[in-house]
Amino acid sequence: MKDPDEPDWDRIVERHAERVFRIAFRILGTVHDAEDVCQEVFVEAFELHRRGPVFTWAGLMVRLTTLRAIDKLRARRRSAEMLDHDQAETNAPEQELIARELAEWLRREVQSLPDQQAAVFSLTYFEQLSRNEVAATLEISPEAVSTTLYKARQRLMSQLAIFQGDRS
Amino acid sequence: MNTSLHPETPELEPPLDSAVWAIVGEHIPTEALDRIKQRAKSLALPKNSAAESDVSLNSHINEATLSKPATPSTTDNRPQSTRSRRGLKIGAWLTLAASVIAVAVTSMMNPSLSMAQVVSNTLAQRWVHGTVTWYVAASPQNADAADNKQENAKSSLVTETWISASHGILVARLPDRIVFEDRPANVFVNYEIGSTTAIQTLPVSQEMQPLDQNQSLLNRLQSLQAGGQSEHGFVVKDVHESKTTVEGQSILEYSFRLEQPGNPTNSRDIKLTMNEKRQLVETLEETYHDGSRSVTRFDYPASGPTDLQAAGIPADVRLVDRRASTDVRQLESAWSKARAEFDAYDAVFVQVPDGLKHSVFTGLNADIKRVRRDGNRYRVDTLLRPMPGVEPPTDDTNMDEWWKANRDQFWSVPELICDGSTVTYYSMVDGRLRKDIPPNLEVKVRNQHPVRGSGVDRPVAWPHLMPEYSCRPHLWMADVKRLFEYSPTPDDGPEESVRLIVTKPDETMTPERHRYWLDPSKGFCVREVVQPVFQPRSSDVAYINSEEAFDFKQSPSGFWYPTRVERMTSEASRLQIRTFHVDFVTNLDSALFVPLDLKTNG
Repeated sequence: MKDPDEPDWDRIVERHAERVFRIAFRILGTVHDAEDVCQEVFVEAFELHRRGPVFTWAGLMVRLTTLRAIDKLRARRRSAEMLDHDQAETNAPEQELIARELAEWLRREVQSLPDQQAAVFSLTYFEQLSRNEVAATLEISPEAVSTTLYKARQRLMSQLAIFQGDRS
Repeated sequence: MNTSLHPETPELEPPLDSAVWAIVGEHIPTEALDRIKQRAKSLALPKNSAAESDVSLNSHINEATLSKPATPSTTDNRPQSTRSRRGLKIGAWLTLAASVIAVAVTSMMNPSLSMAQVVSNTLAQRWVHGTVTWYVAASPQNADAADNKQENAKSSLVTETWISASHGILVARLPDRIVFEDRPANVFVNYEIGSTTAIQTLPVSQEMQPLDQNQSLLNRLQSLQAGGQSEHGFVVKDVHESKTTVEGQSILEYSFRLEQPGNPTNSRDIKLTMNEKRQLVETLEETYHDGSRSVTRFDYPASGPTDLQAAGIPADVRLVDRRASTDVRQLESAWSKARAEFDAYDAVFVQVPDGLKHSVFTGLNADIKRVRRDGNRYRVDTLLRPMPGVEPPTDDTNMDEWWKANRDQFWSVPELICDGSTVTYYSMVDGRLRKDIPPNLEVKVRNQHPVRGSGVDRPVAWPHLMPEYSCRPHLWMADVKRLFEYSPTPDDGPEESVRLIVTKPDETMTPERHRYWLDPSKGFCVREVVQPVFQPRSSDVAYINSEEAFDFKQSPSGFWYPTRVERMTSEASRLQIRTFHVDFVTNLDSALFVPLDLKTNG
C-alpha cells in the first residue's frame, strides 16, 4: 500500500526535470554529461525522498545539480571529452567560433574555482537567481553570496585577461 | 549586455559578460528530457521489476562464466536505479588501470618491491580479470553514518573486465552492456544487454584505447613515484602497511590516502592487498569523497573470453555490422594516407565573394591566408597588405606565380601555429589598418589546445584552408552511431561521380550529416558536398552548406587536390570563391612551426 501522505515521486520528477537538465547542460555543455548528472541527482534525491519529507525540493534539486555538475566538469577527462565531429568539421563563421571558444573557456575556468565560488557564479549568472535565492539554495548567508561572487568574478576576470593575452 | 539578470545582480565586465552569454544563449536540447524523466521515474518502480531485469542480466553473465575460471560472484542486489548510465562511466579500462594504481603505489611504499617488476608481472599475465563492485553512496549527508552500510550494500553494481595484452583483447561486462574489443582482428562490438542486436564497428576511436590508456596511466604513475606528485597533483598520505598469511600465502596489506590539493572531491582512500611472492595485486578498495566505494578483486586466469559468445553475448543476438563497407574503408584508408603524406607546401588561400568588387592586392573583400604545412606541423598567417613596391597583378597574371613571387612582400601576422602537438591561435593586438602606415604586427595568444586524435593522421584546426583536407574530410568511422551509404551509381550529383552519404541517427538532430559526391578519376576526392551546419552545441540547423571543387591538380607525390572551391550557404545570397595557390617546397624552416615566444618576439 502506498502511503497517502508520501509525495508523488512522478510529480516531483515532472516538476523539476527540465530545470535540473538545464542547469546541468549549461555547466557541462553536453547532453550526455548532463544526462549523467541528472541521473545522479535523481538517484540521490530519490534516496532522500524515501527517507523522509523534503521541504524544499526546488532548492535541493538546484543545489544537488549544481554541485554534481561541477564535480562532473572536474572529473571529465580530457581524452574523453566529446568532440562533435560534425561541428568540428564545419567552417563556422568567426563570431560563432569566438562564442564557442568563450563558452569553452568559461566552463574550463568554472571547474577551477573553489566549490562555493563555482556554485554561486553558476547559479547567479547561468541560472540567473537573485542573491537571496542563491543563499537559500546553497544554505549560506546573502552576505557570503556577495563576497563569494566578488571573488569568483575577480578570479575569472584575471583568468580571462590571460586567456585573451592581455598580459602587460 | 545581459539584461535578464536579477536586478540586484552585479553586471559583469563586457568580456566576461560575453562568455556568460555564450553559454546562456546556447540552445537547450530538451529532447533528452523524456529519457531523463523516464529513468528518474523508474527509481520508484517496485523492486521485483528490477529483479526481473537482473535475472536476465545474470543469465548472460552465467553463460560467460562457463568459459572462464571461477571468480567471486557478487552479482546480487543490483538495483535498477543505478544500472543505466553509471555503468558507462565505469570505463572498460578502469579495472586494469586500478590495478596499475595499486602496483605503482605499492612499490612506491615498499622499496623492496620493484615497481617495474610488478607492472611487468601484471602485463605479462595472459589474462587479467577484475571484478569491480561499486557501492553507491545513498546521499552525501549520511555517507559516513554507521547504519549506512546496509543501504550502500543495496546500492551496489558489478562490472567485470578481462584484459589480455598478449592477445590484444579487452572484454568489459558492465551492468547494462558488454564491450568486446579484439585489436588484432580489428573488431569492436558493443552489446546492450537485453537487446536482440549487437553493434560492430572499428576499434580506432581515440576514445576507445584501453590498453594505451593503461600505458599512459602507467607513465603518469611512474612520475608520481619519482617526484611524489603526478601530473594531476595527487599526493600519498597516511600510509599503513601490514602482513598477514592467508591459506599459506603471504599477503601484504596497505592503506593510504590519495589527495589532490585544492580538489578534495578527487581525493580517495585506498586499501589494497598484494601477494608478496607473486608480486601481483589481489584486491583494491577505493572510497571516494561522497562515500561511494569500489572493491576490485583481481585474478590472473590462464584463459579468457576470446570471442563474442565467451564474452557473454548470446549466440542468437544479431550482429549489426556498422563497419563501413569495404569500399568506404578503402576510401578512408586512401584518404588517410593522402592527408598524412601530402607533400610539404607553401600556399596562399584566397576567399572572395562572387560578384562583389574585390582585390587580392588591396585586400578589399578578400580573405587571404598563407598556409604552410610540413607533415603534422602547419601554420596559417594572414596577409594584410603588400609592402611598398609590389606591382599589382593584371587580368592576365598567372596568380600562382604572382603569389610565389610576392608572398614574402606582404605585411603578415601569424594566426595559427601547430607544432605537431599543440595548436596555438593568435590575434592582432591592434587590428586597425591605416593607409600609408605599416600595420602593427604585434600579436597575442588567443587560445591554445593539444592536437586532437592520435597517430599520424590527425584532424587539423581549419581544414577548409588546406586543399588536401578540403577534399578529404575525416569520416570518423569508429563512431558507432555513424552510418555510411556508398552508391557507385548515384541518381544525383555531378556526372561520373560516386556518392557517400553519412548519417547519424539521433533523437535530437537531423540524421543526414554529409552527402559527398566523389570523383573516381581524381583519387576519389570530394567534388561536391552538402551538409547541415548546426548552431554551436545545439541540435538546430543554422544553415545548409554546399561546396563544389574544381580544377584539380596533383602534388609531386601524385595526390590530387582542388585549386578552386565554390561555397554557397542557404543563408547567403552569393557564392564564396576559394582558390588555393600551392607551391610545393622542400625547404620549409622548422622555426616556422615553433609557437611564438611573445616575450621576445611580441
